Amino acid sequence: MRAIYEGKQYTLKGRRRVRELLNTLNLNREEVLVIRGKELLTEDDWIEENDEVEIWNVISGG
Amino acid sequence: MKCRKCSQKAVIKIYQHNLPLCKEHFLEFEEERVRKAIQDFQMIERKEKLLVVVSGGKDSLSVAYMLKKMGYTVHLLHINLGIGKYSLLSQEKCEKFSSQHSLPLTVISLVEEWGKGIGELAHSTYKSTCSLCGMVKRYYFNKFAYENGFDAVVTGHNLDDMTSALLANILGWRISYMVKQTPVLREEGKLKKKVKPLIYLTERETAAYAFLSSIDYIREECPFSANSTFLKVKHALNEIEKESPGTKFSFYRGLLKNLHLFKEKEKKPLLRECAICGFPTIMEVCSFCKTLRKEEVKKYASHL
Repeated sequence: MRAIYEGKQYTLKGRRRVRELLNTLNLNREEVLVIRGKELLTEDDWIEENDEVEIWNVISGG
Repeated sequence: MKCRKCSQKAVIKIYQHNLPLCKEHFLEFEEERVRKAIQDFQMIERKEKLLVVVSGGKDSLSVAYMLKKMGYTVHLLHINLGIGKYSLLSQEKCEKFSSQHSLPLTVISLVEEWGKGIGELAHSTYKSTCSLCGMVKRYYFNKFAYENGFDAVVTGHNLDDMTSALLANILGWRISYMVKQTPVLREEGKLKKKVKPLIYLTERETAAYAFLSSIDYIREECPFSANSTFLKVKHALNEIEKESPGTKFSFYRGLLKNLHLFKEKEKKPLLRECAICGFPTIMEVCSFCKTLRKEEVKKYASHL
């Protein structure tokens, strides 16, 4: 599976839950949205081996 | 994970309420929270003319979208700060939103007004960019609202904005700033009413609301705020929020509950009209004129 966050691409082996992906990338669930295509994913959702997800940062400073 | 209200697949869980929701019920829930905030603090009335100030970001565009949906009369105001590509893209998002939702938009460009963007203006006036930006925006928001007959200035401040500002102010014991962190600042002479309908919503909720409502917003960060203290405070609060959901909400509610403790200590400064522009200030000349209208201030001082 591939995850794109802040312009960087992360390739990870196997399927995993959103929660596990966020833990792997050390991201706080309060500060991101995880999106597959047009679908917003919850922490419990599975990301399959061939999926690509985008992780949007939601925290702004100004 | 299933929606608590209809058992469809949930698209989001709102941790502070331990509430998983599907798209339809999430949008409904967020709009209800905004209606509740408007009612709880008697922010605005149906007949009032609202000036929603938009940056092109998720919060300001979402609040404009919700208020229009609720039947309010909304006009959009965008300040183009002259920060290269970032400002071009911000204005583009506001223009697209304005035409998609048939909402009138006014753009004030700092480069057109002052010949410089906010970065250069800050440099030439020896101010920090973020504090000058805040001051300039507040001045234009109020001036435009006053001169064009609006009843209230609406901003997209969310719960994360309010709690991070509160924590930063507590860390610096800036009590005079804390007492202004209310959801409504009432009209006072030429100072128009200012309201913040998104105070019950976290930043993650407003982002999800914008995404699920197909609001195309600017996701890039302002280049000047990349390492701001404000961001560091937000991260610190979110670390606590992750372990104890609801902390941000109770922190802000606590301020509102205990505001009288600070207000009693803090004397309200007397407002008068700026000798240059006529808008309210606690000094003889307001900060805006003092910083940006130096020649006029000199002329005024020489006639004293």
